[in-house]
Amino acid sequence: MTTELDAGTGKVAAKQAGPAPIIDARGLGRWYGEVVGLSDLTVQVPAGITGLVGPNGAGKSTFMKCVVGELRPQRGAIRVLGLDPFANRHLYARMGFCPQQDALYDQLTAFQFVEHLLRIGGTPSRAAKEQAAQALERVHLADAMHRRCGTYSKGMRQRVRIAQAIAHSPEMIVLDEPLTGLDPVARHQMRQLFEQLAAEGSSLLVSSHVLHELQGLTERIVLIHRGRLLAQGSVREIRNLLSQHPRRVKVRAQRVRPLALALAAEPDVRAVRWMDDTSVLFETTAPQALLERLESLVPTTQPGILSLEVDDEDLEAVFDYLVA
Amino acid sequence: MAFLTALLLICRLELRSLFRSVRTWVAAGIALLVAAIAVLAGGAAPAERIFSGMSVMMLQIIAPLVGLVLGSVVISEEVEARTITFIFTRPVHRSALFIGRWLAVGLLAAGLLGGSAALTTWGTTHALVREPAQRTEWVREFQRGERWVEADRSTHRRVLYEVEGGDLEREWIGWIQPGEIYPLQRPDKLNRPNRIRGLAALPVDMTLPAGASTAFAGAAALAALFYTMITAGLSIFVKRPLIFGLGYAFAFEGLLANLPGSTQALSVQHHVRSMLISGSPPELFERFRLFGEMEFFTPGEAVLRLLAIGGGVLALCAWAVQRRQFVLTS
Repeated sequence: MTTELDAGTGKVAAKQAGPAPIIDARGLGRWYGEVVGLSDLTVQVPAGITGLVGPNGAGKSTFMKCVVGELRPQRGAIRVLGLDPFANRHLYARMGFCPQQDALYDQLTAFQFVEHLLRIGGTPSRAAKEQAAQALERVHLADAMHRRCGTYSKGMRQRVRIAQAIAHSPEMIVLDEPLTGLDPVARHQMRQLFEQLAAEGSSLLVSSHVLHELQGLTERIVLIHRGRLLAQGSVREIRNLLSQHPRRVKVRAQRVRPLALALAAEPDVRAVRWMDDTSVLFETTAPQALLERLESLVPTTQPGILSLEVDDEDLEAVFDYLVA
Repeated sequence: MAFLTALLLICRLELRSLFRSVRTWVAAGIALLVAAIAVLAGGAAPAERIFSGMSVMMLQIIAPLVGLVLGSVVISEEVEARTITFIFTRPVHRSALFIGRWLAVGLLAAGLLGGSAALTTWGTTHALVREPAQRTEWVREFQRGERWVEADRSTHRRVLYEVEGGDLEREWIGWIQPGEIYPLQRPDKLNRPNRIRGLAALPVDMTLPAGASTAFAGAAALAALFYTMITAGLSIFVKRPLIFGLGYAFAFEGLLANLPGSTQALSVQHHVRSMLISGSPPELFERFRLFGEMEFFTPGEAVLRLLAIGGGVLALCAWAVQRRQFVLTS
């Protein structure tokens, strides 16, 4: 997969190459009365682990509900594993869904809950029992699986929801904020589980509004905001493709003025902003070139550099930049 | 075939899980209310009298309540609890899910109400809590000075006397044992000696006419199936199906089914009443004057009409649930 900047919107858009995407959404629109859930969202998600990120209210859950066929888009079209997802039982045999809402059958034990859902799906009784037990073991709930769900902590309930999504070994798993409510140990365990599932051949679409949760789990992210695709690709790809958008380099030096004057003449520098007597902020489309030029200027200008800061490339920074 | 297999599997699974639900036990409590009253009242009056009252109460109030409470399990409870996502993302046709779950709650409701109807019948024909009441019967005229029997209030035996032209039901003066006679002479208001006749206290009739209990149990079970279908079906289309269902059962049907005329045929109530009343001996419900002004279907006709309507409603619901989006609020 590659990414590119959309000339019309100025945003980063995805371009698909290679095998057919597992999710192919084109021009999706979905409203709740006057509230926009999705607005002209076009995105293709390939196999593997994909992170779906966006602030609260961005449309992540709405998109996921469209993916799992809980909602039907009012505009556009969506295909998941090549199928129309809405109420499609053939798709559900190949897909697992962990919803965001903290809802379980509290009167059932975790084992009964997962087994019941497997049985509804047509799994024979003995196999359902085995699969339920295995899934609950994978989410580290083996010891507590015969306790009623109503007695579970929030983290345990989250793990039960993950278990029911993976119990039938689906080829695609949609996880809506799956790490919410988990303690650090459980988060680590679940991230390991997701990696294992991916290694076993499942594709995962994982949403989160806590961006660092996804960093490390996957390089491939889909950023949505206000129901629209903001960017898609790896964090680095997205950052590199923002070539028309400047990055910021902050220089602190004892004699910053001559340095600033020299660097301001560089062709990639779009703006120079004085912060105070010792600090200046450059906006450049080529931060590396700026740093190299700065290095070359040090012997002649003797600025007495105190510090250099380049806005980082992590997901949070990208996200902040794009959403802002 | 796969659809039917899935439907039956879902029905079986749902029945199993229904027994763990608080709602089931609440519905069972409501269903058994009539039976409990019948058992407590059994023997207090002739069985026919208690039976007719209890059966009408069952069909008009209890059956709709139980049906509506249990029917909401099918969809609306899942929507409210936000668990519907789990069942609607299973590899099974939504229609099979809907019909299978409705069948489970319908069968449970039918079992509860049919069972309660059977228990009600049994309660009215057996005096478990009290000794059977006595009805008085004139035995003969008594001569002045004939044997007197002291009245005993604790045994609840009534003895009546008659003043010529008096009201038999109202004029009573004391208590006697079954089979005993109680002659009395008392002057009337003009101070003339009255003719005295004797009364005997005899047990009330504790039997029911043939066919009445079967008609009652059948009507109750069928009512259960249809009232569960109403809430289950409403929950596909509206957010508060129980409120709409209660409005339908007690306001709309309450009016429609009690207005003589052909519009009665539009209510479930009229059909289940037809099963009960047409399937029982005519004298059983004579005291309900309103029923005397109505024309009821024969039991077979009522069942066939309900099955035809029910089949249509079920098909519509199965079609709608496959297309409906259930938007869950966070």
